[in-house]
Amino acid sequence: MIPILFAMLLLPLAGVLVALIARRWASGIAVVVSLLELIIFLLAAWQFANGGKIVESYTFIPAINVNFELILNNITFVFTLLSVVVFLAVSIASRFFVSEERTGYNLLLMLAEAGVLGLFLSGNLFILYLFWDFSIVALFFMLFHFGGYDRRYASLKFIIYSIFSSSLLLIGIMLIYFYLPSHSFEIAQLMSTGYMIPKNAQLLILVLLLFAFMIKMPVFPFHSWAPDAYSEAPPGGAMLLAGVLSKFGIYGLIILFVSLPLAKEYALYIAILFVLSSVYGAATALGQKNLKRMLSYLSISEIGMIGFAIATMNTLGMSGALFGSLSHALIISLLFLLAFVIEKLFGTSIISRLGALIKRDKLVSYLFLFGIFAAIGLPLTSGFVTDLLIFLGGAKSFGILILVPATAIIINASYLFWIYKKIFLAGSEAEMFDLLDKNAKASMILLVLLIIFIGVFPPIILNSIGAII
Amino acid sequence: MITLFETLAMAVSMYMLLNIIARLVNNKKLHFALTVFMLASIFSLLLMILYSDSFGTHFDSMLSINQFSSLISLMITFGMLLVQFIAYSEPVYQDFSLLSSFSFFGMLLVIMSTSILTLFIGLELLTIPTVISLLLSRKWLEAGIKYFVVVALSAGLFAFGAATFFLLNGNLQITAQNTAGDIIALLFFVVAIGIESGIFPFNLWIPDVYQGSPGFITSMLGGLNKKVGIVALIYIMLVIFPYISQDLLIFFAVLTMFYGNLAALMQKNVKRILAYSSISQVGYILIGLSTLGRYGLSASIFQIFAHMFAFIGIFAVIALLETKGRIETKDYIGLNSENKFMALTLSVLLLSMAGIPFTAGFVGKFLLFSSAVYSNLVWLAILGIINTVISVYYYAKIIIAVYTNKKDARHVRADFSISFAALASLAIIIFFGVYPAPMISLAQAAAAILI
Repeated sequence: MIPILFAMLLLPLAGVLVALIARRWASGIAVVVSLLELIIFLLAAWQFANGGKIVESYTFIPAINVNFELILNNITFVFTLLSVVVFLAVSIASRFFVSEERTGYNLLLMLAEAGVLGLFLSGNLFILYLFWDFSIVALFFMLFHFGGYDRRYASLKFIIYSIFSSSLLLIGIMLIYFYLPSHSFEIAQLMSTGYMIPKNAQLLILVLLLFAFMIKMPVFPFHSWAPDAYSEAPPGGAMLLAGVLSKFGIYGLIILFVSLPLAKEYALYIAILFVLSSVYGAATALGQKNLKRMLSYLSISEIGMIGFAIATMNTLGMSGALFGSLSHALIISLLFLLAFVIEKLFGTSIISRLGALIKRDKLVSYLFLFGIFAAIGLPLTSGFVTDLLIFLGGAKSFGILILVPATAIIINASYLFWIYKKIFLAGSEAEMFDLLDKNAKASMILLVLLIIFIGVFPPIILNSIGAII
Repeated sequence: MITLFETLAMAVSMYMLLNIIARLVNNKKLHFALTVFMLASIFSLLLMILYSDSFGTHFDSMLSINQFSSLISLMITFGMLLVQFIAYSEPVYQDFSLLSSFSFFGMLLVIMSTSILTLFIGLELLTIPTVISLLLSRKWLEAGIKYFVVVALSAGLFAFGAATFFLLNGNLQITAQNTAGDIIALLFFVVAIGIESGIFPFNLWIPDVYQGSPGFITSMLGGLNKKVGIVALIYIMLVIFPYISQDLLIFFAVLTMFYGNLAALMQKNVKRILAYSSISQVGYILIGLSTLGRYGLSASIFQIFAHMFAFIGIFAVIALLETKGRIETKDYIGLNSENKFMALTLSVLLLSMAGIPFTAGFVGKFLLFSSAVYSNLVWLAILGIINTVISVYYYAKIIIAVYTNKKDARHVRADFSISFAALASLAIIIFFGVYPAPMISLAQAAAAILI
């Protein structure tokens, strides 16, 4: 029996070692590693589809009852898939964007990949925490060393918010360990026996972890690090932050809601928090002058919708949240990638200085239009399936209340079309650019094809998810 | 039949004797080789004692070697070895090495003591040579005088505490005592040892002395002397007075953490930042002690270990840059372009102090905070977490400076000895961060023998 999940974890680390020796080919090694990850993941997915969940366990620290446990089940399946795909897109696109210090950049990329995969595959809260912080630190290094003009401020804000969030998570994990009857860090144990935790301890755990995940997702009013970090990060960093790191919080939230019965009692209030954040994100995006900041708020708005879907606590909503995580990761990565391409074309991402892009680069314009369609949920894209599932689930649990989050979608649609008109259509004649090389194109095409593919055949994902509750 | 412990005692005596001879011969390379050889022998003897279970009490029950004392002595010995490596490139190396060998003897006395008398002698033997080594150069005179004054005060208070203790209990044994009125003796001890180990508010001398001392002496002050002070604190608070010390420990833990971290926020001098950060680390260690349980004590032992090597490794880098006149955070800008290895070492060790996973510092903090949670002191753990977040700010600022690009950067060459010290600390911190199981079980065995 080959330890297939452990191999997924070790592969990027092996890539780091190889890249340290063959420094010149670091970016190629990163692409190969990501591609191999995808292949291994497909093998694991095939095994999962045929034989049920995969579990691998190794002795790690017996003194504090920690095993190194990796697991691929219906929840981790989605998150692993999205991180593998986004990392592949990022590693290909980085060959286009990063021209200086490629070695360091790709080393950080592979370290972050190991961290993210370790987090999503871990079957143990202790291991989850280890990789949670590890990937944050890798992204922190990427942010402040390769980021934009204001990178120092943005990265400091990012690391402090993130460490605060993960520290709350740490206390939550300790409390869970202490109050679980079996005294275990295992996520499976938490999910099956979480209801046995005493009520007041559940409340404490719920509050601590909810804060931790809301900072990381991010959710209003704890979001202020996100627009800074997203817009100052290097292209790959922004795609990873918005596409993958925001899923840390969603993943944690799903575990929390499945395991603690108390969360169900407060579901309505928590749902209101997320809806508020969603509407706030959409409304704030309206007023942004910078394209990248606008996309950051778009991301906050959509993350709020996914949080709302989790709080519905029914099968439709949960599937919507999981499918939506995948869809959001693909769409926001595509949009950020395009935004960075636009920034590279014009030297700025201030909306008022951009214009007539359709006359300069046709491909970028059409892809951006596609990204907008996907973001607002046009049929045949994954965004549509997400919205459908979320609203069906929401209507089942909260009834007429779902009209409030619907406004967020309308606002999002309105400003997205406005900036499309502003950036791509308005403006006078201009010379043609031919900036994109094959790496950038390949990365975008990969994302677009996947968005269409899972939008047309949603069962391929939904069947793997199955019923969570 | 000669026992391992007697061999160890002879090795320590030989270590001091050979230091005197080597100083008289006045050959720096020979001196260094002898020092390294003797410390390595002591290290392996301790390792043999630890793994062959040859424990017991010696010298009329004045010294005891057990899981706890042998484990801490092992750490101290290796730490002392690294300090010698850092100091090797200094002009005053030979004098320092001689003096530090006496300090080392004092450290072992404190760690192995079973009587307050031995503890007292050990503490004096530890501090006085350190004071003298600070007087080796006129540049460090101010730090030396400051250190001398507080240490003398500490000695006086300790002696007074010991006298009170003897009056009340009729003995000087380090075993659990429960006589009415012990609180007076306890307070004297706490102030005396608080000065040595850096508990707020008895630690106000620390930033000045750490900043004024050269890097290699600071690495010994913060990495070894202070840890030995904490060992003395463990003996006094946890072994002798477990019934009355919990509230006091919690009180000091909270104050020390907050003082260290808040004061470090405002600093610009890297040595000063690390001085304050080492104060806050003492606060974390006190969290583990204040649970008064085996789990908490083992957590504190692990954190002593993790902080010792992170501190020594960082001061290897600081000592290197200090000789080039670079002392403030802004002087560290561009270190990565000048020496990649030193930049990496500094960053990883700072991350270890901040408690980031896959470094030993994380395991230490996890054990400490979880010991607080398991002892129903959740609020104390949350205060600790808040402090961790505050500390990330000043650690991250140094790391950002180090990895900021600098134009016209020239390679900064590091001596082999300093590179070795940095590499060894880095390896220890990462190895025991990725695979902490052996050290945790050693620490748990050590904690079980004490309480």
